[in-house]
Amino acid sequence: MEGSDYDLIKAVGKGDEGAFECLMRRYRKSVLNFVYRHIGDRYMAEDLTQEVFLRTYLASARFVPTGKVRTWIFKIAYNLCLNEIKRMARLRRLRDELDAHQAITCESPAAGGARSGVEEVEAVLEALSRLPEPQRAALLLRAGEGLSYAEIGQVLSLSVSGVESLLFRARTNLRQIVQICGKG
Amino acid sequence: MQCEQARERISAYMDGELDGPTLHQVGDHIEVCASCRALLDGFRKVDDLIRGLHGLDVKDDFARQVLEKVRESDRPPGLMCPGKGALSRVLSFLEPLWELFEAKRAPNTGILEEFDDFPPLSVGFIYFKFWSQVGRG
Repeated sequence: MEGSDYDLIKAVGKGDEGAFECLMRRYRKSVLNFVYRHIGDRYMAEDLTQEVFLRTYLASARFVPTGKVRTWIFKIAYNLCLNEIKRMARLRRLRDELDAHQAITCESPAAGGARSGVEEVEAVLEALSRLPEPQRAALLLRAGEGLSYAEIGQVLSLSVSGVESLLFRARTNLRQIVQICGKG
Repeated sequence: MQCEQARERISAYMDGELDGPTLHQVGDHIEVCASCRALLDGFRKVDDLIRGLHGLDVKDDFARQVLEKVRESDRPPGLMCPGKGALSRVLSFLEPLWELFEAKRAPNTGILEEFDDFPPLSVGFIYFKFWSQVGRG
């Protein structure tokens, strides 16, 4: 079954598994990559992505078309990421304390020299993880998924001007983090 | 446009989120301001870093796994609460208790007909029974 996102979600709300599979095909990769880049753990990202679509299915009958289906799905994904980040917060603080000195002095093997592809990805994910939560989400939604400011505002419950301000700070901060480690 | 004003809008300028007049004002300023051009360039590199992150591939059995979880949840779409089976069991348990406490209606006591069907021991029943007796003296 094909059709608009709204047609699909209406059908899913009536228990149409074919429509649900079609909806998953459209957004599963975007959601997976948003979640992965957000929390930095591949295996947890896969689990969370499944949870995103499970919750999408269960809430589908209550979807109100005041916004796009896509932003609604990303909002579910964002909320699940927040829950996961809170759960990992304690470990992350410990890791950040250990890594803060490394970032400032840039003693990591990647700094000042050529990095492998994997190291480069890890470095960017590490830099992203240092951003405050809503800044990270806004940047991933804009640069990674191409959502408009209005759509990002719906996901993060912010005004358009709030999103603009958030993205400005996110890019400024990430640029500084990356520059410290010699990439910028 | 002042440099400070332009800097604050550079992110939106890059994303094409500015209205026409503001877009032109920021664009004109960037042309003559090396600092703002450097900032814009830095923001573009940040976005390139994000876009350059390799994407994960979805496993082939992703849809099957999600559908299995959906079926295991035993909930129809829109029902974020215990399944029908559990709910009906709870209601079945409560039903005899409800019948135990529900009193039968009293016979006609001669009160005003329109209030004759108050359930016994309800506030309305007590009120009108009292006043009807007061009225009889």
